[in-house]
Amino acid sequence: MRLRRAPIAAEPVPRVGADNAPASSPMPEDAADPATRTPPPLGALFVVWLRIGALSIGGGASTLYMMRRELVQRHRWLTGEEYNEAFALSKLVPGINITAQTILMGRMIAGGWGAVVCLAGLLAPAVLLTSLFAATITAVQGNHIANAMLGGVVPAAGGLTFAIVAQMGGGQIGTGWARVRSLGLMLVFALAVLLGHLPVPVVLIFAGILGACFPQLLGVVPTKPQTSGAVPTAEGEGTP
Amino acid sequence: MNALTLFLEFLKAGLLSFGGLGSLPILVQSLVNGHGWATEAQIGQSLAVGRISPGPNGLYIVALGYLILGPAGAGAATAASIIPSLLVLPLSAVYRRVAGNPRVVGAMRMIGFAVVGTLFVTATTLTRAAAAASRIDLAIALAAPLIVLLRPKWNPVFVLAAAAVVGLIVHY
Repeated sequence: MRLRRAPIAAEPVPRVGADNAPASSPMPEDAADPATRTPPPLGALFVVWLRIGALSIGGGASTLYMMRRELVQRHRWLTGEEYNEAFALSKLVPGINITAQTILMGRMIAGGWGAVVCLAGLLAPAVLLTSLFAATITAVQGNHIANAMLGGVVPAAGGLTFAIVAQMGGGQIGTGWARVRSLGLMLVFALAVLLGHLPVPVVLIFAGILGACFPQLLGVVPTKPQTSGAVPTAEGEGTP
Repeated sequence: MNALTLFLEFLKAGLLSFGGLGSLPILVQSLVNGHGWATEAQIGQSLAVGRISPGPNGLYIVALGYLILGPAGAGAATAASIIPSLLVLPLSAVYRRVAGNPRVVGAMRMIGFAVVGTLFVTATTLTRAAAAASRIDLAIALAAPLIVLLRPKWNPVFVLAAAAVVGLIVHY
């Protein structure tokens, strides 16, 4: 990463300023021990999240990249381990993953108010610009030029959903037989909506119950119970 | 329909789905096919706005809320997008016990498949709606994902900009 700072040992001059890691950092890569480090001022935290919120254009991947670069590598407010834990946990709750990750990382960095400040910083630019664009679309309704341009943009945006399906699906299908099984299950759920006309929430809830009842169907097998309890492993799962 | 009922629809879609666009199949079913509060064109417009704006793509619902009900709708969507994420706080307390549980892993994986399957149906719905207008719109709807998948380094925002130019040439 090009923004990574030089190791502290190689830099005897004390550094100051919000952009620098605390001088007490024991490691060039990681934040201080979560138990002993001091949280940054909420104002500085907000500014950094405002930057993440404003500059992460083009979807989730760029936001994740910005968050890791700013919080783990640049400011060292979080350890890489904490970042990974927040990432994994945010996948387990419904709704937008990145907002969940933001709330959790905000609390890790600076407690309850940290969560509020980080979320506000992430959402403010997005919500303002989204509303502004939507207002523009409402305002130009009836304008021929705008309608012609939207006539091209709307099908493209709808079609891009296929790309998201492919990207999301590609990360989950696994290899070999697992791939056939995954594609088959995705097809069954699609047909349940397309031909069965089932409400989507019903399909999702049913899927959750099915997966909880028959995890072995998906290749999720608990390993031999040890003294500390069972640790399940899963085939075809990438690490974040 | 008012801001509260719209908020509840957005909240339901958020609470019952996973990931940014996971809410899309539920919202298309309820807002377009069910209540008739939104059109497929408005869904497409909000998806485009969500792509162009910074931040998570899942915030397309803020644009959708605005198109349906103005600033109050955008506010309702913003509030609804935050609430499901708050569940991460209680979850983090029990994480160590829950995360490796085979039933949790199985449920999450199966829901992941269902999200992809239902989102595929929504993609075909939106593409069919575009195709009803003209052949060229169908071509745009099919070309856009191909370009993004074959050229992953190109920002989708540029694909949308190119589509706007094509639309201008073809439809004006």
